[in-house]
Amino acid sequence: MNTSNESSSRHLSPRQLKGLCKIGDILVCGDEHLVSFSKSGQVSHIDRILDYISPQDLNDFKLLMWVFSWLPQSLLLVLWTVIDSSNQWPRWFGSTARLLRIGVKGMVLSLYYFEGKSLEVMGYQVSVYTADLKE
Amino acid sequence: MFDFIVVGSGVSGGRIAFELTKRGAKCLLLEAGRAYTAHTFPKTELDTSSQLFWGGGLELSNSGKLGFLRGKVLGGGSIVNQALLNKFDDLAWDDWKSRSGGVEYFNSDSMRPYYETIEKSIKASVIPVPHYNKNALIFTKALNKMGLGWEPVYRAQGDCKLDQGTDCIVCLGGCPRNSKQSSLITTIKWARELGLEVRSEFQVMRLDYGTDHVTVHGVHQGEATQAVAKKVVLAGGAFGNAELLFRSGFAAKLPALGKAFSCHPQFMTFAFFNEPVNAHKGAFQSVESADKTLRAKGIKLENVYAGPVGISILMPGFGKLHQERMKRYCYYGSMEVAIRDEPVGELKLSSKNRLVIQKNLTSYDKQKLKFGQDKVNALFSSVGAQEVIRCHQAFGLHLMGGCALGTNAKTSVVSPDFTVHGFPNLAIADSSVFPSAPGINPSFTIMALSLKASEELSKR
Repeated sequence: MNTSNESSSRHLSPRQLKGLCKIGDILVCGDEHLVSFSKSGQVSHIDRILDYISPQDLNDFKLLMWVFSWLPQSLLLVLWTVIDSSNQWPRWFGSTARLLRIGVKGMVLSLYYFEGKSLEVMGYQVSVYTADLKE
Repeated sequence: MFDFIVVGSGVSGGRIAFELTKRGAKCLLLEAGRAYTAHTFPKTELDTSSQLFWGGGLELSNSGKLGFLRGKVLGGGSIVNQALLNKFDDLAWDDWKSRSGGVEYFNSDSMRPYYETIEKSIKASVIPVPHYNKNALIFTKALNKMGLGWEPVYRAQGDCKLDQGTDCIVCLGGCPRNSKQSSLITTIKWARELGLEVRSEFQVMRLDYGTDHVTVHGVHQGEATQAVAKKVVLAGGAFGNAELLFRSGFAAKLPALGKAFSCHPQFMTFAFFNEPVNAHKGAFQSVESADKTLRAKGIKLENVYAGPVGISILMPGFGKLHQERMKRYCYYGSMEVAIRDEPVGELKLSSKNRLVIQKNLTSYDKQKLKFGQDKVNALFSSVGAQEVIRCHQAFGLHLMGGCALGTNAKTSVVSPDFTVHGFPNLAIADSSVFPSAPGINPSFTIMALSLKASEELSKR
């Protein structure tokens, strides 16, 4: 299991990874069944997403994670609570908050829920029958 | 020099490339995404999202209220869609005829032969009732209780081996059985056998239009390159076509470029039940609403679900609340309200040369949404749901318009013969030519229009 201190990325610095884990722990804080985002080690797969996003989106994301890395966890929690209630906010602030929310949720939750223990806890298992197909 | 270059390889590009190649034309098909096979499609939701879609998984409207999914892979949207085959009804055709300035073939009788030809060329079927999963049974039971009509969905698929436990949700990332009738395994495959040249990982950046040829400039597997043809057919969808035409300087001569964008915005609602629903198992979309009242109101109710990543992004809340909700993943039934939205969206290029998607619901759209969501609440309540959760994030999966077809060059981009107004060597026949949202799955009609466009292009 890799935390931000142990993980590496071709795109994010250790500080930016720390920012991702901090916001990740607000989204997925962990309980007796599910570990927190940072403890899950799923941050180590971040390049599987970042390899495919545009350079501009990547730069925006890096800047955001850098900012998150410096914010105290309590302040980040307040900030995220505000951002998460942005459904009907108007104009520039509302747009920015919603874009930020879906962007961050997309990264964190894609990493957390695409494999591993979380799927086991939810009971998610799928398959396609292929035994009749030729190699 | 090629006779035709087709840009984009989804249900339109694949069909046009096949029909033109079959008629003896020398064709080149270009696709920005990678070429995969049934054996090499990404295996996880994370890799599917980042490798098979534009924007690394998701593109957003400038307000952030709508997310858009757009396939970036050889086979385009037909690799990642649900392969639904729905014909348009008179309501949709009459609206198009009115908006387009009276295009003659916008009616059921004229388009019937094209639908029939497509239907004969691919495998298609409905899901047998014994294979309806519990989510579908909840859906049909609720609609029956409320006196609303429903029907099985007709899907372009072969043998999915549902009786052997296949879970259709896997095929949203590419079908490992080659059962789903994507353009990759139908039209593109057939056309290749007849001599079609295909270049994947070729992102088209710009067009240079000439009186007897068109030059396509792009980046192929990392290297700047170009290709030349007598004619070019754009099949890159609403976003791809509009962006390319803007970048190539066509906006000055096409005042309607980027306008009339619509997307059938979809709003998902989850309902928690005491018993497992397992909405992700088996044939997870086998039915849909088919009700005159709902149709007249401009909404359609669908019965889809998504993988854990998709559901987690849609699920409201964060922290402990979100985790508790996600642990109940197998206990949710789901219904989706899809709106027949007004075509008032607009596609533009920003000062940084990036596509900007301006798309907000009108007050009329919001009325439809409220009617639909209230109906979904009532439907779930009627079958004993314990809790109903509305998602805040809406999605557009059917990206339509931006290059509307019509008779007037001031209010449309494409003429009834499918060439761009004033540019006879440039043609379009995919969903970007839609004058408005039909409120019906567009895939079958895109194929039919593309077949008709191929006939028109072959005449000249």
